[in-house]
Formats: sequence, structure tokens, C-alpha cells
Amino acid sequence: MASITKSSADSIQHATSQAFRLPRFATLLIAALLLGCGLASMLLGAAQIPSIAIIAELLHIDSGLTKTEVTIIWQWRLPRVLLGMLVGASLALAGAAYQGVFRNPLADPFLLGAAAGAGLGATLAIVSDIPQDVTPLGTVPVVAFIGALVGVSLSAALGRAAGRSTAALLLAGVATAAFLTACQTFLMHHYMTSIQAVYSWIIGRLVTSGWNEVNFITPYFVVGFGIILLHRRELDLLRLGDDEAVSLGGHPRRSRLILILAASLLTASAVSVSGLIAFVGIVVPHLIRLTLGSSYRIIVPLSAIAGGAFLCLADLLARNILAPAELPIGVITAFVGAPFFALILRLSRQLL
Amino acid sequence: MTALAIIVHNLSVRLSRGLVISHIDLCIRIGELVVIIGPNGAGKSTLLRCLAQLVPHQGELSYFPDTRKLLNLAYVPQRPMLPTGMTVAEYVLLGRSRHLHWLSAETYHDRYLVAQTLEQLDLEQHAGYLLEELSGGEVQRVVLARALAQQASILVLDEPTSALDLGHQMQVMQLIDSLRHQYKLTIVMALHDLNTAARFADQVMLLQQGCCMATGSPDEVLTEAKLSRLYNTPIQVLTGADGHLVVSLAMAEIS
Repeated sequence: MASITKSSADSIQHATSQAFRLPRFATLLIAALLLGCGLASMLLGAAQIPSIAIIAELLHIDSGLTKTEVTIIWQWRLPRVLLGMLVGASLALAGAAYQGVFRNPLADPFLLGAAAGAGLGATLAIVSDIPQDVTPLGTVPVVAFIGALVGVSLSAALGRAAGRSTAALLLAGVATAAFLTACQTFLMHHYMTSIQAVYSWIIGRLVTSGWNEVNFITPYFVVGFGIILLHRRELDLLRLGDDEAVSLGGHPRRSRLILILAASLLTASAVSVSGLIAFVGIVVPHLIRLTLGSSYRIIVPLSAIAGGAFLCLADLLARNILAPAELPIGVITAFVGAPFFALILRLSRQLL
Repeated sequence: MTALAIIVHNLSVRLSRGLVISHIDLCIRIGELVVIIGPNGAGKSTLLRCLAQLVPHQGELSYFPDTRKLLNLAYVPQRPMLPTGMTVAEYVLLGRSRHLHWLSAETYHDRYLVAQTLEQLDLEQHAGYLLEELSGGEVQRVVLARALAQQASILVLDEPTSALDLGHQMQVMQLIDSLRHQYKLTIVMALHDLNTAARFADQVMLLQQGCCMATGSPDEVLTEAKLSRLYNTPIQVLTGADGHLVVSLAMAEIS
């Protein structure tokens, strides 16, 4: 290798650098989309407030708005926009991580039973008389987290018992999700008094009460995102199978465990604040994968940004299509997600 | 006499299906190319995986210089996993993993090294290609590039030429051989093709049902009697015009 001159090595470096880097243009585009969706969500809503005034108010310039309008902007619209972004990013990241861990392009929080488990856990916490401050982190998210882990573990164990194929894992996930959902439905009907609360929650909705939800989900998001981002190289190694990953110096077993915990934490925190919002976890990572590349050093950061943008956009549509009535956001994501899922199924036929 | 690279003494591997490797002794010197020969199911792959410390074993297995963290060995399985959608550069860069801390990212130095390795193997034009776009010969070179990027002094290759036609088999073997001389690599590989083994190996081991039938130079080991016994079919060994052994089925004796 000593024979390679400095200039020739530089030119190789230049030629190969594109294969390593985050695609800058696409990253900027997705980030711009995120900001654009966020801004549009701030400007549009049931209360008719002039756009200029809203922008002025956001920039802390004297906008001449009434006290009610200021409250709408700061206590209603902004937290909701941020919540949408955080939930979308959490679900997309969890999906990306599950897909990497199970080496399965169709894995996502919903198909693996993680969301159903979190849902059952949260329902349990809502209908039971457990006080909401049993743990320092609240009760619902903790029970939801345990539920998510139970869901994923059941799917993984069942899938392994049925063989190591991709189809086996997904079928196990479907069975697990169906069972956990049935348990949840039973609980709901047993405790009829809270059925309305639980039902609206199942469809998936972004409802905020000031900044509580945003404050709640942010730490989980930061931790989960950090863990998965740090494991992006390990996620690439996992794609080579355990033998090769180990021989290359990876730690597949440890990484898988940590990633499942992180993804389940993200799923559980998202499900605890927004209910069951389907398809974000599968649509977003695949969109990145199909368009920008399949390395997790690209998929992980960009899934988070694109997931935030996607859910923010979905929320914008949910609030404005039937305004002043509001569609549950889960309807919008499934409306876009289901056809997209079918497309992915077609493209990844050979993988099943 | 060159120094030793690997000592295998009384090595046995027990998997769930029973004793797969039993009581093997082998001394490998630095810079040697050792070929493991044997029929399907003889335990070649298991022996190589064991050398790469991927399966638990009994007996002694020492590497020199002593590398407890195994930084010094690159292993390529018979059918390496080629993730769809991954580029050649990303794939080769994974070879740097062992030199990185668990959660850290690659540095400029790592990328530079990968770029150099790609140039070394005439792959710099392929850096941005997806793995599934490559031909069989290119895949083998890319896999070799990943192994070289590990900067290990011992390469363990499980049938590196099995998926290739005759011309590409020879190209890949010549490439491996020239890299071996250039970097003083110690190479252990499993092969099916006896002629390739006869041509390139310094040391050959015949493996039968997990037991070592013979070890030594190609001339000592690749004899008609031993090979016929190993494969349970009559085999003829001739000396080619260039002095290398040529192995063929003894068709005359069958008919």
C-alpha cells in the first residue's frame, strides 16, 4: 500500500467518501420538511389567527394578539406540534431498531406485539386503581414499558420456536398482538366506566394538556434516540449474521438486548401519550431505506427526523380535513401507511 | 525456521450432533498457506470456525503473538451474508469494527484505509456499488477486501472459491497468494479443489469425519492411496508439466 501516492489516495478518498457520508442534500430536505410541517401546523387550526401575528408571537415580537390567542399558540398548538414530532420520531426509531435486530424488513412496533403489549399495560394501569405515582416515572408508562417488553419477548420466543424464518416471526407477532389486544378489549368491557377514555386512546390521537405530555416523553426520546444512534454501526454488523458480526468484533447478543430495550422504551413512551398510532414505524424507515440507502448510519438519524415530519403532517391533516371536527391521527397514518405497506410487501417478496 | 503463528494441540469440538472435530494437532508457521481438504461433512467449516473462536472447544489453541482479543485474525465464512442495499464501501468499512470501541464511529483513518484496500484489489470504481450488483468474482474480492481491512495477520477462509468458475477461481487464488507474500499473511482455508490445493498450499491437512488423516506438504499428503481412501473412490495423481500435482478421478479403473 506504500506504493499508493498521496494524490491518488486523496482521489480514492474523494471517490469513496460519498459512500460513507450522510447524504447532505436529502438530510437538509427532510429537516426542511420537518420545519415546514411544524410551521404549517402552528399556522393552521380551528381558531382563525392571522399567520403574520403567529410568526411574530413565536419570535417574541409584539403581535397584538389577545390573551386567549397567545394561550392557544403557546399552550395548545406548540406543544401539540412538538408532541407529534417526538411521537413520530420515537415510533420510526423503534421500527428501524426492531427491523435491524430481527433482520426483518417488516418488523415494527405493531407487528411485533410491542405496541399491543404497551396498550394492554397502559389499559391495565388506567382501569385499575393503582395510584399514578407508584414509581417516580408515573404508572402508565412503566406498566406500558413492561407490556411492550412482554409483547416483543413473546413474539420472539414464539417465532424462534416456529423456526428462524422472517415469516415465522411475523406470524408469531400477529398472534401475540391479537392475544394481547383481546386481553385489552376484555379489560375495557369489564370496566365499562372507562371504556370511552381507553377507546379514544386505542385509535391513536394527539391530545395535549399544555406541556405535560411533551415534558413526559422528551427524556425517553432522548435516551432511546441516543442509544440507537450509538448502535448504528452495530446494527449494520447485525445484518451480517452473528458469526460474522462476532468475528468482526461486534457484540450481537448484547447489542440486540440493548436495542430491544431501547426500542421498547420508545414504543411504550409513545404509546402512553398518544395511543396506538400505526404504521409510522414501518413506513418511515423503509422510505429512507428505499430512497437513501440501507446503512443504519443513514437510516437511524434520518428516520428520526422523517418520522417527526410524517406524524406532524398527519396531525396537520387530521386537524384540518374535517375542521372543526378532528380525525384521529391513527386514521391518517393507517390511510397512508396501509397502501405503502402493501407496496413494501411487494418489493420485499423475495425476503419472505 | 520461521516462527509459529498457530498451535493446535489435541483440539476437539463437540456440537449438539456429537463430536465434530476430534483430537486434531496442527502447527502453522507465519506466512504459511494451509489447506484443509476433506469430503462434505468432514468438519472443515467447524474446524475453521473453531480457529476463529466462534465455537467452544476442548484442547489447546494458541496464537502467536498472543492476542487475547483476537485482533489478529480475519474470518470469512463459506457463504458470507451480503445484506441487500449495502454498498461495497460500507461493507468493507465494517472490517474496521474490531479496531473501534464498541459504540464509537469510524475515523478518517479507517476510511482512508478502506479506500486504499479497495484500490489494492482494483475495486475503487465499485465503492458505491450495491453488493447485489456484483458478479461472483467481484463479491469474493470485496469479501477479501473486508478481511484485509481488518489488518489481521491471520486469514481464515472457508472455501473462498467455491462459487466461481475455473478462471475466476485461479484469479482469486493468485490474488490471495500474492497478498500473502506482500503482507506476510498466514492463511488457513478449506478447499474442495485438490489441484488448487496442490498448486498453492505449503501444508495440507486431510480431514475425515473430524479426524486428521494426514498432514504435511502436498507431495506427502496428496497421494493416490490417501485420497482414494479419503473420498472412498479411486483417484489418480499425476505430475503436471510445471511440476505441480494433478489429481483426477481414475475413470479407467471404474469402467
